[in-house]
Amino acid sequence: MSNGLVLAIAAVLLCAVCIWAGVWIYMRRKYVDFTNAVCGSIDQILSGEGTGDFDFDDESLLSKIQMRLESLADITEAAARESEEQKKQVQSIVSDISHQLKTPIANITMYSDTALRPELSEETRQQCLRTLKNQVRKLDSLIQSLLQMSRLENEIIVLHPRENVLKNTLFEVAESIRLRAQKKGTEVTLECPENLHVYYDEKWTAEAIFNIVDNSVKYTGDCGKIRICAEPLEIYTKITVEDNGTGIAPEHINDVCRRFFREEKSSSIEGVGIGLYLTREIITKQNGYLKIKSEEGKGTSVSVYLPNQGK
Amino acid sequence: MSILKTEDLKKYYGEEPNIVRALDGVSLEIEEGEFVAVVGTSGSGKSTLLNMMGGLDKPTEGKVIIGGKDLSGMDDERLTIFRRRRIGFVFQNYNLIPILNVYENIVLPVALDGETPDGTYINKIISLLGLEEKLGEMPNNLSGGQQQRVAIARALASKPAIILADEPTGNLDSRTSQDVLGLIKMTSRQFHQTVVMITHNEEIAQLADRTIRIEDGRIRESRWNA
Repeated sequence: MSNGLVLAIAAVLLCAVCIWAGVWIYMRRKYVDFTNAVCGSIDQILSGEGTGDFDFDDESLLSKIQMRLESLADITEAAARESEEQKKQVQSIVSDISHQLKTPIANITMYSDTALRPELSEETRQQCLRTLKNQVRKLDSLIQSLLQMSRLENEIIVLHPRENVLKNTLFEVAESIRLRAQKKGTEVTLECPENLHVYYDEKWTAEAIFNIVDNSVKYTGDCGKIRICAEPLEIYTKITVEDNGTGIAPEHINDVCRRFFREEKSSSIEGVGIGLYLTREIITKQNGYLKIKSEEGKGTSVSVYLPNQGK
Repeated sequence: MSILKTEDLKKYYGEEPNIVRALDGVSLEIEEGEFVAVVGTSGSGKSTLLNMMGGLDKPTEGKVIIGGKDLSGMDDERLTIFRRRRIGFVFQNYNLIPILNVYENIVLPVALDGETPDGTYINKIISLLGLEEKLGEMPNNLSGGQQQRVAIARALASKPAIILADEPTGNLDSRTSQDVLGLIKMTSRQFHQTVVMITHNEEIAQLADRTIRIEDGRIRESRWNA
C-alpha cells in the first residue's frame, strides 16, 4: 500500500472522528440545555413562583412537559384548596346546627318556666305542658334530621348503588306516605313500568324520594292529588313527583334545596327545611340530578334523574 | 384564580348611525369547575360572546383571558394551538367528522397534538357517556343524541381548560335533551371540568350551577342555581 493511500485513509478517519465528536458534543449540549430547562421549570413550581411564564403554545418538546407540570401543580393546589373547603363546610354546619337548636331550646325553657309558676291554673299548666311536649318532639325531629345530614355530608354513610327494580322502591315510598295522605283526603297515584331496572342505592334513594313526596303531602291542601311516575330515557330514568299544592314562588325555586331554607308562607307547616337538601345530596352522589318546576297556586313537579346503569 | 375572564368586552359591527352593538361591555369571571349557563333571547349577544370566549373571533375592544393567558395578544397560529389544547367545543349540530368513526372522532384533538391519548381517561369518558358499544360506528349511523354524546366525549378528551357548548340540545328532542344535559352536568362535576353553555331556554339553564343572563349585549343578571 502506498503512503499516499494510508495518509488519505487516515485523514478520512480523522475527519470522521472529528465530525462524530463534534456532533456528539453538540447533541449532548442540547440535551443538557433541555434538561436544565425542565429542571428550571420544576424549580419554579417548587419555589412557589408558579407557572406564569411557561410558554404553552409553542410546539416544542419543552412546552409539552411544561403543560404537564402545570397540571401537576394544579392538582396539588386543588387538593390543598379542597381540604380548606372541607374545613369551612364543617364549621358552617356546626354553626347552622347551633343556630337551629336555639329556638326550640328557648321555647322549652320558656314554657317549662311558665309551667312551674305556682299561680297558674291547672288548665293553663296542662296547656303549657302540652306545648312543651310538642317542642320536645320538634327538637327530637330536628336532631334526627341534623344527624342524618351530617352523616351524609361527612361520608360516614356510603351509598351502595346497585341495579334495583324501580317499581318496588316507588311502591314502598307510596305505602309509607299513604296513611298521612289518607288523613288529608289526598290521593297518591303511582305509574311505573313493571320491569324497569335502574342503578341506585335502594335505602337512601327511597329516602330521597320520600322527602319529595312528604313535601307534596305537606304543601298540598286537603283532597289534593299527588302523582308519582317513572319514565325511562336512554341514559337516565326520570322519576317525577307532581302535586297540585301551593307551589313555590319563582324567585325561590333555586333556593328550596338549600340547607334550612323555608319559604315565609310555609312557617305554619311543620318542617326543618333540609328534606330537599338531603334529596339533592343523595341523588347527586349517585350521578343523578334534580329538576324542579313550579307554579304558585297551581302545584309543583320535582323530577329526579337516575342513571340506568352503573359505571 | 378564575379560569375564564372577560374584561369590558365589546363587539361592534358597522358604523354610526347604523352601528350594531352585539356586545356592549361584558365583564365576567368563571371559576374552575363551574357549570355556567349564559341565557338570552336570539340577538342578545350570547353567540357572539361564545365566539369571543373561544377565540373564534376578535373583539372590537376588551380582553378575553383564559387560564391567565390574554387571547388578544395571540396571532392566528398561537390561537389555533391554544384552542386545540385549552378549549373544547360542543356545537348544536354536533360537527363530527363523517369519515372517521366514533373513537377516531373522540381522540382527534389529542391526535392532532401529536400525543397518544391517555387510555384510562378516554375509557372513563367513553364509559360515562355510554359509548362503549359504538366505538367503531360512523357518525351518520348514530342518532342525534348519540352523536352529541360523541361530541361531548371529544370535547372532554383533551382535558381543556373550558368547554364551550352552543345550544347543545338545540337539535335534540326533549327526552334526549334530558339525557344529554344530565351527562354534561355529571361529567363537569366528575372531572372538575369548567363548562359554559349558551342557551335560550330557561329550563335548561336551571340545571347549571350558575345562570348569567345577557340582553342587548350586556349582562343583566348573574345568579346561583340550586
